[in-house]
Amino acid sequence: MAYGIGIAKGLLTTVKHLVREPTTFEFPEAERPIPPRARTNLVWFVERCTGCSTCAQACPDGCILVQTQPREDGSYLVERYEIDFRLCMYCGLCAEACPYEAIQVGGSYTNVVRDPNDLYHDKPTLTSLANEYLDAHDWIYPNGQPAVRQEIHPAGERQHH
Amino acid sequence: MADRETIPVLNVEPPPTAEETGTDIESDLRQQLLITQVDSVLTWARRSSLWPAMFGLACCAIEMIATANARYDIARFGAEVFRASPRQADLMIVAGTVTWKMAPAVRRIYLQMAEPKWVISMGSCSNIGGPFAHGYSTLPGVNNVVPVDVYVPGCPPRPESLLSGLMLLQDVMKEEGVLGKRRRPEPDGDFSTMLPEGDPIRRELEALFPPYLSVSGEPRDTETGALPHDTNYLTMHGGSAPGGPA
Repeated sequence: MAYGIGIAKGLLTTVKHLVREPTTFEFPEAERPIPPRARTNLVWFVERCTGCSTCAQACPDGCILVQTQPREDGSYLVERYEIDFRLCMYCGLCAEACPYEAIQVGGSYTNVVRDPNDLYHDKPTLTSLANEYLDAHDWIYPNGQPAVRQEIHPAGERQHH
Repeated sequence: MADRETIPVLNVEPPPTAEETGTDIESDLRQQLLITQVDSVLTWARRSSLWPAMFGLACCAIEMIATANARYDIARFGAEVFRASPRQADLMIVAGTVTWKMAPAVRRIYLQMAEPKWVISMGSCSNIGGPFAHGYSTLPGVNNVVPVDVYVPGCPPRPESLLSGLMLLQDVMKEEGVLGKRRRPEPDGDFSTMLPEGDPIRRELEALFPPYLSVSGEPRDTETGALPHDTNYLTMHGGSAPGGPA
């Protein structure tokens, strides 16, 4: 009498899995939403940066280089801002340390290279990557604040003056 | 070949005959329509079934395992068959910190894989040493030991990054073709700037680079490739296996 109940239960599980949503995210076409505290790539926004070097002091690897020049009004011109993503361990301590949230986590996953030296990003590269990020995300920073849609100078100079 | 390409356009000499240069079969073959069609089919077959060697060195291996799981499903790219033997693998995913103690094993696994073979360096540690780059115990980049095709940054890289690396490698294979030249730099096997003279790991590593001398510097047998102190099956029977090909 009880014969077949177990088989029917097993088949029921199979049918349930047949009709439910697939678990696979087909990556290049569909991206999984990034958790808010995930440690992903860093994005640096030149228009938010004041050149205080807090990120470079917080970096355990020492992979951030900041070189500044004082302006006449007392603010700093960020001459060089370079991140060595070969060394970077994506701990996000720089993003936590930055008082102006100029460096934030939330970049793309497709930064794979054939030459490891391509992972050393200087200021123009970082600026263009940040612009790509803002273009792709409706001009909203990773921390949820809206960005002012503005033309970034090719050299990355702040435009607030 | 290099000399022929650098001849100024106005002083073109007639191309050397096959007797002068020796027949360059490969460059002739690359021009032929039939061969290029076969090449594209072979490349498609190769890049659609990359079998990785199953080993992981550190925390990146966890993400590599996650890539094989149903959520990301590396099987969609034909690379889900993680082989336990390097003889059956095409792809080496160096996932994690390569310590000096592990470096000879990594090099040996690479040498044991059959050609054609590709290498993905996964994570900052294997790219350049990562946070341990200035330490005493870590190899500053796995490209000192094996030639690397694709570098995947991250610490550890998320599965999406590894999938991006796999897709870039498939593009590289498509671009290079079967007959094309491999553009990845080969390691030179010079560890004099990293390890002291007489270091046992340095001797072991240098024995794994051409001309593949033994650790004590003795040459290998030219026919069998065996070291003098090896007592394997072939050398025990005078260089030929009974019952096998002479």
